Amino acid sequence: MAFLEVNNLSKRFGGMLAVDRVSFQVARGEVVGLIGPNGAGKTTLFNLLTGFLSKDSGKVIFKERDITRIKPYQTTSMGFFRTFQLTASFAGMTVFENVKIATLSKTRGWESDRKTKESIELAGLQECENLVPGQLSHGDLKRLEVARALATSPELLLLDEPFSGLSISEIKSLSQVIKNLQARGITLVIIEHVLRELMPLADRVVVLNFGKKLAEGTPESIVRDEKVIEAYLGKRWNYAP
Amino acid sequence: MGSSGKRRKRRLILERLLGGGGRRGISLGILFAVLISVPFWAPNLWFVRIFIIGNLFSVFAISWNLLVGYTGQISFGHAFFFGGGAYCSVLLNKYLAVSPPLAIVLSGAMCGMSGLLLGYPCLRVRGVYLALMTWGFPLIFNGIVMYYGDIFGREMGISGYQGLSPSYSVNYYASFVLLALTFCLTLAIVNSRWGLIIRGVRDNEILAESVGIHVSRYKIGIFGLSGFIAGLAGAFYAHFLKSITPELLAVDMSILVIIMVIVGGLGSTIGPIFGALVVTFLNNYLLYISELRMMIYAVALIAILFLRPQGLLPWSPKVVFRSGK
Repeated sequence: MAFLEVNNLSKRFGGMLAVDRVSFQVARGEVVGLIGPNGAGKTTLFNLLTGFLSKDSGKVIFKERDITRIKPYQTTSMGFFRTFQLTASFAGMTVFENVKIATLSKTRGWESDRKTKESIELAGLQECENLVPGQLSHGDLKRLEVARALATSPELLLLDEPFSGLSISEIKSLSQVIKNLQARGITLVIIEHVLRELMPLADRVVVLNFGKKLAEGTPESIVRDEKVIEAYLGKRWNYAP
Repeated sequence: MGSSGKRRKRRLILERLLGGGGRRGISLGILFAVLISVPFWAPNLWFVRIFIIGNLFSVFAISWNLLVGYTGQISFGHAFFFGGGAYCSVLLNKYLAVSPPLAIVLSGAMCGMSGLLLGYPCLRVRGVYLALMTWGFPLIFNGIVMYYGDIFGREMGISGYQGLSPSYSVNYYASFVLLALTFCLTLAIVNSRWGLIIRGVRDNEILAESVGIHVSRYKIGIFGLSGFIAGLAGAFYAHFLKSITPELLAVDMSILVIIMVIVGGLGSTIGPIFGALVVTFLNNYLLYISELRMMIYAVALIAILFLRPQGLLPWSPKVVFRSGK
C-alpha cells in the first residue's frame, strides 16, 4: 500500500478542467518532484489534496485512510502540511509565535515551546526569533515556512515552489535544509521550476500539462522524454546529473 | 518540566504584562489605583457618575477590541449587543420581575448566544463586507423596537424599572468589578494559546487553517464572547441610567466604541480602557456643544488614524492590524 495514493483526481473551473483524472502514488520517505508549465494544475492539485478546494471526482488515500473529504485544518493532525507559493506568514507575530502556532494542533504547554525552539533551530532561524516577518529577508521567510512546517511534525510535506525568488546561494542553503528533512524520514512532494536544484533532490518526477499527467519517472528518464521536452523543458534543456 | 518550568512561565507572563520596559505594568498599576479609589477623591457625584459610565464603556470597548483588534473580525454594529443587552435586561426586570443583577447576567448570556448565531453568517464575508453586514444588525433590532412599540416603547424608550442600587458607591464598585473581571479575562485569553490562535486568524486566515486551526470555530467563539461582554456592559448601563432609548442601538453608539478603541490602541490590552475613559469624559465635558461632539470625535479619529494609528498610548503594539490582509 502506498503512503499517499491519488486516484483519478479531477477539478473543473467553469469550462476548464484544471486537474483531469490525475493519479500517482508516493512511497514513504520518497521525494517526488511535481513539474509542468504554468497553469498545468500543480498548485490546484495541492489545494485539492489539502482540502482548500473541493474535489469534483477522484479519491485520495493517505496512510490507508480515505482523506478525500479532508478539511484544511485537519491536515496537520493527519500528519501532512503544505507551504504556499508566495511566502505566507502572520505579519503581527514574532518568528517564535509564527512557528509556535503551528505546534498547537499536536502539542501543549512547554512541549510546544520545546518543539518551536527545535524547529527554529533546524531551519537555521535562531538569530531571528524575536523579529517580525516584515524584518526578514526573502530567504529567511522561506526558512520560516520550513520551520513552521517542521513545527507541525509532518510525515508528508507539500512544498509549493520553495526556491522561487531566491538567490543562488539562498537556493543552495535551502536545498541543504530540504536534504536534512529527507534525512529525517519526511516524505516530500515538491512543485518547482528550478529544475537544476529539484532534479538532484527528487527520486521521482511527475509532469503535469493542461491538468493531465504527461509523464512520470526518474529524473533521468523525464529529461529525455520527448513529450516532456516538447511541452515544458524545451529543446535546449540539457541535464547533467 | 516541574517547578523550573512554572517559574519560567510566570516570568514570561510577567514579561508580557510589563512589556515596554515596565512602563505598561506601571501605568496599569496607576490606572487601577486611580479607578479603585474614585469614590474617595471624586469631588462630586457627577464625577463618580462619569466614571461609572466610563467603566461600562471600557467593558464595551474591550469586547470590541477582542473581536476586531485581536481576531481581525470588523464589527460596525456592536451597538446591537450593547443596546440589545440593555433592552433585554430591562424587559426581564420590568415584565418578569427578574432582579437586576440576575437580569444583567441573563442578558449577557442572551447576547453571547446571539453573537454565536450572528457569527455564523459572518463566516461567509470578510473585511469591508463584514463591516457592512455587522452594520445591519442593530438596524434590525431598531426595527423591532419601533414596530413592537407597546413592549419596547418606540422612540420614547423604556423607564420605570429597577436600578441596580440607589447608592453611587455600590454602582461604582459593581462597575469596577465588572471591568476588572473583563480585563483579567481578556488578559488571560490573549496570553494563552487561544490568544496566539486568534491573532493567527487575524493575520492570515488561510495560513492559520493550514497550520491546523479550525478558523470558523474560533471566529464564532470570539463573536459569542464579545457579544456576551458587550451585553453585560449594556445591561448594566441600562440599570444605572434607569431609562433607555433606541439611541443605544444607533449608529453613533457603534461608532463611539470604535473611536474609543482607536484612541487607546487597537489590539492592546489597556488601550480600550484608556480610550473609553478619555472619550466618556470628553463626552460629558462637551455636553454644552453636544451637536458638535460627534464632529470633534470624527476629526480626532481621522487625525489619529493618519498620524498615530497604533493609538495614543506610548507603548501600543507597533504592528497595526490592517484589514483585507
